[in-house]
Amino acid sequence: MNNMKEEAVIKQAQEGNREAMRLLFEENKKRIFSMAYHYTKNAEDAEDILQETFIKAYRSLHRFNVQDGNSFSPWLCRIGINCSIDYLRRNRTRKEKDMIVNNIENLTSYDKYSNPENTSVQREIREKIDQTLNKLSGQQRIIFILKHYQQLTTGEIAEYLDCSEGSVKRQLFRAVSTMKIHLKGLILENKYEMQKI
Amino acid sequence: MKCKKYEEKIILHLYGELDEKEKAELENHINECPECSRDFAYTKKVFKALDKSKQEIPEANWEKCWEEINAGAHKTPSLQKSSFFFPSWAYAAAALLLVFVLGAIIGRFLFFPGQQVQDEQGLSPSSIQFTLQEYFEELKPVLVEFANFTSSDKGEETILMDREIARNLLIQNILLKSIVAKTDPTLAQLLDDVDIVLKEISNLKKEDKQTPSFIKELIQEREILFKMEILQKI
Repeated sequence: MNNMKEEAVIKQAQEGNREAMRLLFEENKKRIFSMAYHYTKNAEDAEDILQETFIKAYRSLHRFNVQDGNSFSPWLCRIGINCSIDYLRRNRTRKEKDMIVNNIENLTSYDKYSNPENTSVQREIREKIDQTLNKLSGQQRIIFILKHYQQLTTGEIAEYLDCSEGSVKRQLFRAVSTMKIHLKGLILENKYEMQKI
Repeated sequence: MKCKKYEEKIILHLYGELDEKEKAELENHINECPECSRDFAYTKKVFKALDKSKQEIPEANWEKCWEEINAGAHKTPSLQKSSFFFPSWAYAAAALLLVFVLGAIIGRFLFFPGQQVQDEQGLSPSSIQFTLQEYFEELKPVLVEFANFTSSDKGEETILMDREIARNLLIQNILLKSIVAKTDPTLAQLLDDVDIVLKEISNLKKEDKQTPSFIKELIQEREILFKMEILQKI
């Protein structure tokens, strides 16, 4: 959707036009869902976050100023980020239990034709990455997801989170450093043949 | 020991965030510093492991999500207002309270005819102020509780208690609003805002995860506690 069209659609949505609201949903649903999925590792939770994000956005759409050249997507993403952080905080204990169950389910879901020793290490690494993601602070986690899985630039993340690019870089550095520390044993013990992945 | 400055640059480089000049500087340093060279090799391995761990995003049930959003987005306070209903006991309690208030007003006319009555409804501004202060004292803890809501789940008992308190306060709010409606539009507006908040709390359900945050936003956006504070000081 180009800027002119987006502006017109937002104005219509602000007037309560459901078609326009639907259009904004269609344009942004995948981005928000994917971010929420990486954040929660659960499709149902990600759907809940997606719904909460759009409901909040539509309820406060009258405060979104189209004239200032603001783009809808970062504004919506900011709401999505807050919803994700809130959601996880609310459901942290349940999420931790789910993570264990998911890890057990993953034991049977790996490719049976690949090297069993290798898949076992890959599984260990995946589990470790999930555990480490859980150890990161809410902001570090979201920055890491937006950078690593959503492939946004640090400038875009700064815009989404309404903070400086320097701060994003620092938090990203801390998040990756934590990953490096927690994966060290698995990667350096030569258990994991990097050429094979 | 690794060079702190380059440790961060290695990560940014692997994310493609360095410009040509910074990249060249980093490459030169890595060639000269064995510690950073090892760190660079290890960080690359970590990135590969992270890439490999990327999971495929499942497809959401978009239609169901849209229906929920469509229903939720249009559940505004004003719409809820129209769908709000009181239980029958609330009407009885309101009627009883009204009898008491009217009795007090008539009693003042009958037994203290000489006393100056300034308000057209028979209440002097000082007595309204007193009633209002008492009402605010009861209302404030409820609003503060929701204004400080921090996403943790409320227990069933707390919700039931909140609902009952809110319904009692709502009756007082309606009566007060009818008294000040013509004489004090600012106060009437504040009571209108309180009315919406109390109705939201009165209809709160345990499974409704969004409403407490919505109530919190409402209290903050309309600056209800701040306005009450000011009015209490006047």
